[in-house]
Amino acid sequence: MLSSLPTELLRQIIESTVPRTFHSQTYDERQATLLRLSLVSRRFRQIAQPLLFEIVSVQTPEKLETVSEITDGKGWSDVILEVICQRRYDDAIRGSFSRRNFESLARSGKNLRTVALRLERQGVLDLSVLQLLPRESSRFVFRAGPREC
Amino acid sequence: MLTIQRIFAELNHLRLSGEKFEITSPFRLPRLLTVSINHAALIACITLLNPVYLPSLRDLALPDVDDAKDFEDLRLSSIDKLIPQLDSVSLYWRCVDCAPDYLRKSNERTLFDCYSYDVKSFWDYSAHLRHLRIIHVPLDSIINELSTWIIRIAIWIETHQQLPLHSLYLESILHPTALHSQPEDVRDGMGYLVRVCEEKKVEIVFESQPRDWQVDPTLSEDFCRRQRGIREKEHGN
Repeated sequence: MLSSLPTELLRQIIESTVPRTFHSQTYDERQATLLRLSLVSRRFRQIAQPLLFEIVSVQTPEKLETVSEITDGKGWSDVILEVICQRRYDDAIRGSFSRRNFESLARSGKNLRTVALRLERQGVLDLSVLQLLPRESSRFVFRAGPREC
Repeated sequence: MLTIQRIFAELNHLRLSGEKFEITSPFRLPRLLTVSINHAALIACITLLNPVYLPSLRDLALPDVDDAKDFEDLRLSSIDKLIPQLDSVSLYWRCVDCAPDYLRKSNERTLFDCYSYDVKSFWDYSAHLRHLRIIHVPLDSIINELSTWIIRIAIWIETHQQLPLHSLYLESILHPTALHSQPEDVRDGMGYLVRVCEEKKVEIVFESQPRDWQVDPTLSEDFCRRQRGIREKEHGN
């Protein structure tokens, strides 16, 4: 029966099953729900998979890079809406969120509206990375690289 | 010719927590509507609190910013110039009496946060409280503790002769309709609190609250919306 629903209606149903903003109490369940929905069918996956990347909560720079790579690769540059980066005092893993990570994020998240940074254990991040830098020129450099190779 | 677009120029909401930040050169976030900067991040981000850099800012939260050192640090910012453009402010309640004038003047549009265990000190800080949000409700504690806690708040509101409180923000799971599985004394306690608040014309707002204050949204959606409405009415008149 669900398969006969128009895609837009199905999208609204799936979207309504998960919170639209980040909350520490609901995030894991949100992502788990979307993962489960992605496994239902190809049609469900097409709708649910991008929603997994609407809200991104990561604890390592590598994961943030992976998110950028996946969304770039799939052409989902308008998918990411909210990013939460955490490096807690009790994190055992090393590594710091850096300017480079946020430049990648800016390329792959042109609809990014919310950023939450909890940086307690890492190198100092210059917040000027949020400042007004040319986006198109950094895209140009990004694209030019592989061609030269 | 390359179109010069700007990274993060469209950012609407920013939350900063922890001390691992610096700002080497000031920058504008022209579309930022809300910002939350906690105690640990404050000094590193102090230059950001300036209407020149945050021209669209409407709601500001400074969680756990409450001591003399913090207010000394704030003097390095232009927060006094930023406050007039804001719809709402969110502060820790202990600064209700010690905050600088520019913050005190915004009491009418400030939501003060206090921890549930602060209930014993309510009498010391209540002279100027208009809007209060009680956070970290002892839901997981022994049941008796929860009902005692609720009754304490009710007694404080009932017996305080000059309490200026207009609204009380509580965790949504304390809503009377959500308490059906709780023991009778908890339900009775909540019923008592609701009655007292009705008598004293204190509005209770039940709302989902942040749990992890370092990353969850700290601003109350309801409070920001109400203050925005009040502001728009004022401007309309």
